[in-house]
Amino acid sequence: MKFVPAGVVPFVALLLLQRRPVAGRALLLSGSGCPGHGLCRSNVQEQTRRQVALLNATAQELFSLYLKCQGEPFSSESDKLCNPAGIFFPAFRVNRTSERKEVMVAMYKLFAFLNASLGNITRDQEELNPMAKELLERLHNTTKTTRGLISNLTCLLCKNYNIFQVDVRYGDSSKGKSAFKKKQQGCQVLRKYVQVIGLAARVLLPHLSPS
Amino acid sequence: MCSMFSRWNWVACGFYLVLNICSPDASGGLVQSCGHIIPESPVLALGSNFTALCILNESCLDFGNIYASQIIWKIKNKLVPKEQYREINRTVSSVTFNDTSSLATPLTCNILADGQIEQNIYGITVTVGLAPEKPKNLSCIVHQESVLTYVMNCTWNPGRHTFLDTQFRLRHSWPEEIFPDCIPKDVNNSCTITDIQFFVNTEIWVEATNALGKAESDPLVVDPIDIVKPLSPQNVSVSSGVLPTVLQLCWVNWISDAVMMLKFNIRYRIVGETNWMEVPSEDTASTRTSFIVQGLRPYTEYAFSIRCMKEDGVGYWSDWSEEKTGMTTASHSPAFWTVHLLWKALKPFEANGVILQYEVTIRDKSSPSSPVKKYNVTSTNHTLQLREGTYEVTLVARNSVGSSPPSVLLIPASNSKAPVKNLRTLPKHDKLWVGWTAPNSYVLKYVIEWCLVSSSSDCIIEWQIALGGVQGVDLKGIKPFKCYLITVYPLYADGQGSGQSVKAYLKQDRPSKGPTVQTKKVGKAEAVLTWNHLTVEEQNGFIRNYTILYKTIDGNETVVTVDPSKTEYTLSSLTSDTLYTVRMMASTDNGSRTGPDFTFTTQKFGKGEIEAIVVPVCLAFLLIVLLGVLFCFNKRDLIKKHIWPIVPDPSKSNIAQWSPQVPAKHNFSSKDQTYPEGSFTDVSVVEIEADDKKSFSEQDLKPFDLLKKEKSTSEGHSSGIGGSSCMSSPRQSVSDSDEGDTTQNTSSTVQYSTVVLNGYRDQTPVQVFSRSESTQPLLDSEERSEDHAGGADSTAQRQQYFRQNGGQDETNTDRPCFERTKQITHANEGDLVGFVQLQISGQSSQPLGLGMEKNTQEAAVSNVLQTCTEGQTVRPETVEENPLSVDEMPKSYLPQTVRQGGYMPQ
Repeated sequence: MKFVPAGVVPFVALLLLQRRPVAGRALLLSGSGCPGHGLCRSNVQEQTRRQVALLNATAQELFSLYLKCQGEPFSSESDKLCNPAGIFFPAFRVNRTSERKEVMVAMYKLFAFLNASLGNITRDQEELNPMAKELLERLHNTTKTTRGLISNLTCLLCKNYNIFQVDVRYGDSSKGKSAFKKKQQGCQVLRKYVQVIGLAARVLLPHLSPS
Repeated sequence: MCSMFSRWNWVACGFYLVLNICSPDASGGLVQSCGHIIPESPVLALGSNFTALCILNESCLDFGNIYASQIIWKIKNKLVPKEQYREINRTVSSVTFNDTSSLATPLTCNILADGQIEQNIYGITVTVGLAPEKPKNLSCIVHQESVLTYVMNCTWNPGRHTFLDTQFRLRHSWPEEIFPDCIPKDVNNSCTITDIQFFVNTEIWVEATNALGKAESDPLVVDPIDIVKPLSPQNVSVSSGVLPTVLQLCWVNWISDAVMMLKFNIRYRIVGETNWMEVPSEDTASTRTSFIVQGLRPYTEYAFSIRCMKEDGVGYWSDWSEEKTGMTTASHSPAFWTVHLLWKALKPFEANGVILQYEVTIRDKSSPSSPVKKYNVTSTNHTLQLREGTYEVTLVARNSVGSSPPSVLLIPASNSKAPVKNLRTLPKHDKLWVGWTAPNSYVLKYVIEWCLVSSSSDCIIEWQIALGGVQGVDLKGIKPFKCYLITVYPLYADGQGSGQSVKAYLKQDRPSKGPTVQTKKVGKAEAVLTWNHLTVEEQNGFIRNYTILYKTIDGNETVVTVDPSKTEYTLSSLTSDTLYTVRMMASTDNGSRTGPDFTFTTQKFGKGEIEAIVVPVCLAFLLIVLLGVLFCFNKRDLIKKHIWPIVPDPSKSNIAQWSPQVPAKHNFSSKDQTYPEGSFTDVSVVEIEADDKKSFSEQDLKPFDLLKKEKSTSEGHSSGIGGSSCMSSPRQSVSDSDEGDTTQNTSSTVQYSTVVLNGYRDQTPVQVFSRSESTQPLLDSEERSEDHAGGADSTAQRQQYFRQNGGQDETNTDRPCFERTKQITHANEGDLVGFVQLQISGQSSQPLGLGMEKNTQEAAVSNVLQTCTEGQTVRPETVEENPLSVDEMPKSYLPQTVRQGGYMPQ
């Protein structure tokens, strides 16, 4: 598993990996061999659940605030403009009955993508709406949470399944695009994010609940 | 070149060194030093050893002719002992310090060239310190600053002071990510991280780094969510609930449930009280935004405050929220009455044995279906809580054989039922008709009670029952001119109604006597009258009013009508200092009767008038007296001149000097010199207790200090025998002596004086000198009288000082010491001082005037002086100016209390 640093800066590097095949390869590593194994404790599972719950609880507010801050036509025609059909979003084809390992890998791919995408959106909004403090703050917080979530998923994958490398595909970069396109791309990603995070929370709940 | 030992060569050598060190070299460099020290500016651990090398340049060897053997080391300006040097080769010298704590900055390498000229070669800065210790006690707390903002503040113990610039860095990381360091500002033991993330285990540690090393604290691994101190709940509001004993609290939490579930503490107190009560924590152990506090007092204002923390108890409590107050609503009327039942114990013959217990039975008459309550008590009282209603209480006493008959008490409901209305009476022949209007509710019966009102006995109640449809009855047996209290109770099906009362007379008459009036307080123009009500037996009817009648002896009568409820009235607008007669009349519907007359006289002066006159008069009198005293004080010289004329000193007279008999008459050692006390009746004396040593020393010396300041030439200060001692002074004596010159030519007016020394207690005074103001020539009889008077006070218990013209008398029975001055021709200030002061040398510290144990009054003057000067030299200063022998001194005697180095009272 490659560790994927979060935020805007690593985003450029991550773009280089976007066309890589999606693959999870299990390596026989002991738990103590995981990076930062001292921090990979038993509470990480619960922490991960709380992180997903937190993202799920705040996603809709983030999306609504995003639309509000983009102005017209996004605030009135979000259904049309923010339709995520045309963008890349990691497939999240897991359900409650899926294997926990499969769920974890899918989650990792999802939040690695989201982390990079949120980094891009934050960067774009700092440029387009520098005065939208609350939106920027929420974007920062969400990005930070996904960073923490990735860290915890890394721990869980390595510790429980000896998976230390997951290939992740990222979306198109918005760099160089027009302001409208940037706004639209952010809007599409966030809309999809709202949909998927709810699913993830529901799927993850039985897998991460304390047994 | 420098090996030459001529002085000039040394100078030239030193000049070369200076040039070599200080001059820019040819290539444009600034300095071509003769050497350098390694290491350059080292940082050393405190207590370690250290070696420095001073390396000379070869060029200096060639041109300066200097070598390592000439190197000396210095710390600051202090030479390092040569034992610490080591010459490694001809260009390198080392110095070693076993303990760097002895080092200081700068450490310099110097060359001691021939001729002992010291030149500095190089210097380094030495820094001594300690490596950082491992930071300890690292702890962190996450403070919530707003809904979305959290900061983490960590503190630690930085360890010992290192004496060096030590940098502390707070570091935190995730498994594969290390975040930017937190650098403390202005402190070394805390830092605040602003970018934290919940739900991730974070490793936190502190790094301390300085020139001597680096140390890291033990890592702290924590999920920041577990160390949160949240903001206290905001917008707390209090609202009253449906019940009067509850209040509802509502608030807003700063933290969303997704981040953290909360638990709460709610505390509350009655406003004005200090003690807080808390809602049980288990009732507030889950996230909420409202809570209903129960069990409060009705109609009471409460203050509430809330705090919160993470639901699982991991973390920190928030601060208490701002207090909010709310008031509970009023409850219904009191639900219970507290009834105390009391009864008397049976007397022994009534009890027929020992009463084991009492049985109290309570039956609720208002609710027949209610169960009967029974209580067994052993005391003679019992307390019950009863609801509103009518109760029948039955009390039975039990002994070992059986029970007593029941004693029944009916507790009626208070105002539970309506009374009759419009109760009234009407005399009908010899009957008194009582009528009323029935209440709205259906009444079964009426109970009519009446009793004769008496001031001396209780009201004996009579009663009768009337049916419910009746609204009036005739009362029989009613006596005329008597007051009756009539009460009507309606009886309802479910209890008794409250009674309605009225007072009535069958017939009225005028009162049997009038009220007795008297004055309570009499002033200049007013008088307060007071009287007692007539008793009910005296009234004979309803008193409608009182009438006050008052008049002066020759004036018209004034009438005042007073309400019958009053017992006091103030007559106003009276004439002062006038006799008034007052009487009082009580009136009923059938007539009036007057009480006895009462007379009183109004006062002549009103309150405060006398004080207003007396006080100014007294003040004026005091002012006049004060002015008179001040006037006399200012004109005291003039007054004294008229009252006490100047009397020349007879001892300075020509006769005194001329007559060879005079010294013989003043034989100071003779007992015959004592004078009777009666001879000095006109002489003011100052009495000094013999055992009052202070009076002989300090206190008596004070007047002389004052007197020294006065001019001796003032005649007005002279006072003769018989005058006040207040004006006497030793200087005046000298003054008089001055006048001796003039008296030498005054054969017709001889002034003389004698100082009389009374004996101490039973002792005979050894010296007598008295002074007369007489201007008559000396007569034998007078002289004899003087001589006689000198020994008169042989039984005196106290020493006496004559304060006349310096003729103070003191008897020193232990060491009588007298100073004789035959003549003082130059009575200046210095002379005066010298006159009253004895110069004392030697070891004795005994105040001569204080020794009173021995009776040496027999001693002759010479002996006295000898005694006085025993072991010391007593010498009046005047003797120096008038070097006469003691025997030759004139007869002016100053009894003195001598104090070493001090002054004698005269």
